[in-house]
Amino acid sequence: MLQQPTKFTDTQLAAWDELITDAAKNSIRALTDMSGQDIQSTLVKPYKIDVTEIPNSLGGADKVAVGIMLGIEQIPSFHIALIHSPTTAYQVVDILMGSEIGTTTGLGEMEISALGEMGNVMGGYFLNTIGDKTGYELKPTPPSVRMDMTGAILDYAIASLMMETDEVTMIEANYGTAEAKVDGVFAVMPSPEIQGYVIDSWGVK
Amino acid sequence: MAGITLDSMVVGLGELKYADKPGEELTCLGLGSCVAVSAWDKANKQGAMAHVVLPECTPGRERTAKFADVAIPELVENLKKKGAVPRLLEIKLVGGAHMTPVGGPGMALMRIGDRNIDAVKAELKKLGLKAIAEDLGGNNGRTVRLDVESGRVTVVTAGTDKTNL
Repeated sequence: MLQQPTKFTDTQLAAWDELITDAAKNSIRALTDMSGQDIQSTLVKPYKIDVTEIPNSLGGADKVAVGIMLGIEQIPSFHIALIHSPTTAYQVVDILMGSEIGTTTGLGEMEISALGEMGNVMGGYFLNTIGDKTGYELKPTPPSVRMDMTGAILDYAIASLMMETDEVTMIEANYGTAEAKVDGVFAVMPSPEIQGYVIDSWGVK
Repeated sequence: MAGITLDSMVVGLGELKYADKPGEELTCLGLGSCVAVSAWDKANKQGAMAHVVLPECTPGRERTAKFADVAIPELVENLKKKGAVPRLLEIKLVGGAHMTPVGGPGMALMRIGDRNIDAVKAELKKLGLKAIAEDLGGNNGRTVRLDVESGRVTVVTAGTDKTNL
């Protein structure tokens, strides 16, 4: 049985879903500005999920992926993850660096730096949207970029969430360009604690 | 063994599972800082695996196998009820990696992989038990499998071939 997270009213939950949906869409728009490519969100979906199911919902715990992880300075249990297959991550690097698709075939220092910058920009836009709308300022940590099994990439996030709760409202956003067929997942995993702080600061009843 | 496909039972985050039929295997996928505790009872050809996420259950939380201090006693006790002699269990530990810290100072201090390893070993020690093999620490993800018929434990790190433990 799941531990009951902080109780919110239906109005608060609906406002929260709308807030993080807008924030995720803004993050993807920021990617368009950053890359100069027309990157569109294909799906932006907030939903409740058992924390233990997060790796499965993002492709499977043992599937090798490239993950860009950001946390929040103030609170350890708020995580932003950008998950791509290695092939897709290489395509993203090509787009970000203005190279012909297929140029990047591995992750070196420069490629990791480019993906980290992508995480900075998307995470920053996401948190700025929340700050602008609610007055609750959240500062992202420097991004961590690694290629590993998806479960391992998400491990810190999951362990810190499980210290507080068994269930979170996660937002998952898919995005891509028609031309490069890039498809990635932008996942935001806030604990009920941080959700409560933001909602309180916002004043939604 | 070539030609035999094992019936794999995935032990998810915070779960504890048992298997005792030929052809069955228990597996933890994509371990990072989590620790997989594998125990095999040679005499009865049965095994158990726990996927430990956190070192200890804090007050107010439901006591489940995601915590080392719940998972280890439960794993040993249940195998004992099924006929195992605890001191004869072949216990192997995998995981507890130090993944790149994410988050603010609080996260950097967590070192959750190390804490999970310490907690699992401490719980085993309380029961007078000790692992006979381990693949712990480092900074890469791992998948671990226990074949309950042979007791063989294999570990795969991302991008590498499997190795026997």
